[in-house]
Amino acid sequence: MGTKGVLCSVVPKEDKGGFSVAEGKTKVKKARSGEKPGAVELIQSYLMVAGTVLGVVIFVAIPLGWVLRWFMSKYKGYGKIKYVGFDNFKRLFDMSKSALYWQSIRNTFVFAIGKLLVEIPLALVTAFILTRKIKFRNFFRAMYFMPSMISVAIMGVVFTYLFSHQSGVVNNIIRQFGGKGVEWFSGKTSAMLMLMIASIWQNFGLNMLFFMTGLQSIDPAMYEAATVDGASNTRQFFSITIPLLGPVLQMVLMNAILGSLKVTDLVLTFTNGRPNGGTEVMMTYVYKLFFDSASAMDYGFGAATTAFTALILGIVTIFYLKSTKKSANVY
Amino acid sequence: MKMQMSKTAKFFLYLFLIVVTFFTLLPLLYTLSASFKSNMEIMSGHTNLIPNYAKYPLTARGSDVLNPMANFAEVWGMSGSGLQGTTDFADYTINSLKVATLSVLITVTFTAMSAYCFQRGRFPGKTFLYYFFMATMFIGAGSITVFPILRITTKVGMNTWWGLSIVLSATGGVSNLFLTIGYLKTIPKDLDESAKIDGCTFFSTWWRVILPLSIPILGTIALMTFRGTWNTWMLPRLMLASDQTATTLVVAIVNLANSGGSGASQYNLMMAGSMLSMAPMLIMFLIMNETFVEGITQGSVKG
Repeated sequence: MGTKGVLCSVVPKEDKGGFSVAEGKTKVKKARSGEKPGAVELIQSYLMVAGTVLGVVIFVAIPLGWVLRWFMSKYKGYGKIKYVGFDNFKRLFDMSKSALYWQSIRNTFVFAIGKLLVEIPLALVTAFILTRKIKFRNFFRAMYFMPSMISVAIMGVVFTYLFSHQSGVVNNIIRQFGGKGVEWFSGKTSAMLMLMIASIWQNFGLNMLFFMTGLQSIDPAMYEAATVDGASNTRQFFSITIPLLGPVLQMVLMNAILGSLKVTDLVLTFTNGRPNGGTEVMMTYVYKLFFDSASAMDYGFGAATTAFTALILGIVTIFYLKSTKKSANVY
Repeated sequence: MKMQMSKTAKFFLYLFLIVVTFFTLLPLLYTLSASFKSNMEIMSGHTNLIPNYAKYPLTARGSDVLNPMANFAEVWGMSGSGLQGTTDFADYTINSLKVATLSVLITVTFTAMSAYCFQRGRFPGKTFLYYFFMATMFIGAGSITVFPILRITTKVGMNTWWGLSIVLSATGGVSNLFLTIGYLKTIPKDLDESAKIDGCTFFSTWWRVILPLSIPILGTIALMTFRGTWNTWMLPRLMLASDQTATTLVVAIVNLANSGGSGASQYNLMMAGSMLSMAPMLIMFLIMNETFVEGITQGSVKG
């Protein structure tokens, strides 16, 4: 079965027993009112769902608890674990002592906002063009999506070469046109710019695909009617396309925002925080408290920053789910 | 949908598309190009894509014979620490394949079952479990939990390729479950009902009716999981560090780049290595481009 069948197939309006976050509770009740599930069904359900739930408990929930129990302790990975109360948080909120952490939070948001300001419109525009009947449509679509197939870590390696000062392709091209090579890794702005370019390069094709499916589900009759009424292409784009694309836009945005806030591998294999913490992000900062050379290791403070970072992600997620409320229906 | 356009508008439209294509293709083309160049040529500052063997011949170490595959041969013959004359890279490739294959099997099996339970099941605690699952995944994924995962798996002796597969499947993300739940919504409930009348239990309804019907979406998930686990870096790097030959291809190549071969940056070897790990994915994509493109958005939008 092709995509069309899945995407456009008629979903029964009365989706009894179906699951959606917004109306989950009422619907579950509705289904139950029919007949009570027997013991066999209950046992089978629990067994079937057990694998996934156990996986999440053992490898996500327990690890979270495992690391968080240190957040009131001083622990360097060896020796005794000493209870220190809220000292770790005092250090965390003392800007002079943990300036690098706050800088990394700022960097994360600069990175996320900066790249999404280019990535999302670029994805939207290319999707808008490629849903039209134009020549080589599938070729362009494949080319734009191709970078998504590559490992983020390998991409870091590749872009390290492309942007290297002496022999990198980017500087070679700049020199070819008579410019001067840029020392990409030593400037804060240029290093951040580099990260954004790499990330946009990899991700815009994926977002474009999501937008394309969203666009294809818009009834062409809408555009025909608008054309009859004399609406211009631009007008149609803002008055029909954008509003009807709403749910998809929300889903793409959520994935993109959370994805950018969690960026790790790319930074570690590409700039690795160079220059001087200028491209350090939340996740790499936390990561280094646990895995960097022995001198920098600090599990207690690491746990505190983990808690705070998880809190930031949680707030963004909740804020997002509240403001859209529909994400489960979109998926 | 037809767009009425003037010739100039069309020209700029295609110009835009071509410029964006250059943007996406050039990094890949230059990687490919560099993997066939000698490091001398890379350092020379030229921007040619086709290697200029007349001026900068590419030869195997200690040989005068022109050999365009010399970089690949050298990388393949390296060990994790840069020494020559081993078959470590063959091991890494096999490791990657093993990890990816097992992850696909585990992910597909458990996603298929749990999605069915969440979509069709009627058991107390369903809503709670679903929210619990979502909340934990949203907050816990990422490098936050990497350290404790490493500790736990090392403690129970799971820091092996199969242990890695299990961890990767468990932390794989919510999107697989969302996708499958979305797909199951499109399978009419009447089928379940009639299966029930024929005497099927909750499980056998899934096994005989739902599972065969969800093959397309499970195929998609298998493809995506294979791509994801083949490409993953941080967890294998930390979990498979015990033995030099235990790690995966991507990890080995990033290590190679970090150690810089022998001293100075050997971009030719770095890029040849990168091509080695990228090529299977890119070839798979070029062959199954439609499947990927459709698969990844499958179930993302409904009505």
